[in-house]
Amino acid sequence: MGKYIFKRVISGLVTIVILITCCFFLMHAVPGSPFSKGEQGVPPEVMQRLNEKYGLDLPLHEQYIRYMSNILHGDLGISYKNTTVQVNDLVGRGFPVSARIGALAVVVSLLIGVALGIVSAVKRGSLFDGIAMVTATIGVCVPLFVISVLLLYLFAGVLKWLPTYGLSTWRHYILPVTCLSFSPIAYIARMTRSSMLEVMQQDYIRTARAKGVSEFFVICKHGLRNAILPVVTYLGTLIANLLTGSFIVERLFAIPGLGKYFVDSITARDYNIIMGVTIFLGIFVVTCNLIVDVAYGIIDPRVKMDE
Amino acid sequence: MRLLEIENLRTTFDIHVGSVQAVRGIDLHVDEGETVGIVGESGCGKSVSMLSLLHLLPDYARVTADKIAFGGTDLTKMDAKAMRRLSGDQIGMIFQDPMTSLNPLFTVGSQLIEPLRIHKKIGEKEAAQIVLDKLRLVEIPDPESRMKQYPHELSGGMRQRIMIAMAIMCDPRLIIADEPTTALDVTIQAQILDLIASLQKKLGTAVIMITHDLGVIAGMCQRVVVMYGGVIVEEGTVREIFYQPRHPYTWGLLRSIPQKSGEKKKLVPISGSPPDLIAPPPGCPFAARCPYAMNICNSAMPPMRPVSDTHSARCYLMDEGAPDVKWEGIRA
Repeated sequence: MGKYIFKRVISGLVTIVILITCCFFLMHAVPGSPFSKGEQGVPPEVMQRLNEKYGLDLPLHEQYIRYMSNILHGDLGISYKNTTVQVNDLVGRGFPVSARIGALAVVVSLLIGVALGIVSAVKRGSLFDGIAMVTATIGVCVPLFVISVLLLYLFAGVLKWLPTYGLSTWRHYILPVTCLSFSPIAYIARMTRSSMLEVMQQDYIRTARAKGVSEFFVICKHGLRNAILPVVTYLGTLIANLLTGSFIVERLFAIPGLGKYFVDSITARDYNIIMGVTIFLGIFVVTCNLIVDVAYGIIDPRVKMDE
Repeated sequence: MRLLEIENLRTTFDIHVGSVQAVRGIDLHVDEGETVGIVGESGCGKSVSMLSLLHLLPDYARVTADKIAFGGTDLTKMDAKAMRRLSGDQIGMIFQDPMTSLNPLFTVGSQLIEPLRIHKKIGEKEAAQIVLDKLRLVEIPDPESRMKQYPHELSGGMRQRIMIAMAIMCDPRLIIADEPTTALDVTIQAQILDLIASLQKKLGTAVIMITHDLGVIAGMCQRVVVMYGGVIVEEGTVREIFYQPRHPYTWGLLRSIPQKSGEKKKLVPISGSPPDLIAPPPGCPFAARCPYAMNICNSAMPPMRPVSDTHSARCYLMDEGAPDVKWEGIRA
């Protein structure tokens, strides 16, 4: 196990370095700079001074080396747009907000999705199954921004049950978390249902029944543990996606999370924020995948970690 | 003492193309401590009849019976839930394929402990001790470490031993073995059969042995039930079935056993294929393949006729005035 994790961490680090390199050069290949402010423009002399100050006048490979050595010291640099802001602080402030909403959404998706999937599989062909699966198909197809706007309009606009923006009370969390969970619930429900249907046909389920195991435990112990494996695989991507913040949801509900900065920084060519957020997301995704793979090995003993 | 008594058991599968009448009214009884073999080819209803008994069929199966009595209890009125209390406790089941019959995600030990925890309501430690005893009984070497292993770490024969240990865990009065050796190597087959036979002797449990191998029957059983097309065509003691068989299907089965001694002779196959059970023939299910079939065989189901107290068969050839066709032994 230890050896496996060590190998995965090394390969994860290599992935991150490649990610940083690609991102760095791609970003600089895009025309414009943090200080080109469109039509009004900055006087060329000022621009010159700014570029010199922040090292943007250096050849690209030198900038790259400088950037890499800064990262090794744990410094993601400053925001070019607002030079009093450190990127480290920005991530440190934005991530907890995104992560809180994201983690809630992951838990909600998992609980509701798996439950729906099991009930649909057990009551296959029933009205419940029909309604759940049609809803799930819609949930998978309809884009997040449509659902978000619809829910926002309905529950905050028309019915006025829930607040529209901010995160001050628990009621503020309901809408964004619902929006974020909508399509994962649908996806998990469909996945759980089909995998459950397959598992319930297996011989070992019959064995469990023949032993006298009650139907509840046949489904929830012998069935679910086998049926949950594909969901666990999907969980890595899901956690990484949801915890790092959704641009759409954070914009719509004015949530000061990570997703909002990401897109803002790209339009502003705020190099350091783009890089900082990307690196953070990269590390996070790699870590999530590693955790999920280890979890998979714990759930399924047939997966050999050391080979 | 009668342990199990079944009258007119019928199992029908409702599928989209129609209703498959897999079991069409079978009567069966098993005495305490007796070993009964059910023999027949694939699809004759031998497994389905036993799975019906334990409510182990999918929900599109319809099971009816005039009488199912187990040790004095009427099982016809029992639903699946009530049946769960009996199966695993009083009735142990051994399945065909040990490779897929154990849950791959749980240790062997935890799967073996389950029936004890459910039926005997005893603690983990006490249960583990019983599990170890049973594992020794089925001759599994080093049972302590086996318990911590997962099914995929064990060989097929070892897994079938585990399945047998599981079936006898609560000291059942009846073991139903559904082709327990079909999925195993020939050498392992013999070991497993010996094991079941010796356990049967040691524990005095009644056994229903489902198989398509008459050799297995000859080695282990006292009585044999021959099934074909969802009905019982002949039943009797092993001696009666092997030496005075009365049904042409039984003759066919006996002639298709490979003989180890004597001159080299080709096996005699039974030509044709089993009847379509969605629209079963009104007469004898074997009529289409029977070399001695008469007109009546195609139009009406022959009744079970007694030959002796223990022996009966379902064939018109046994009628007075029927053509004189006699069993002339395997080599005829």
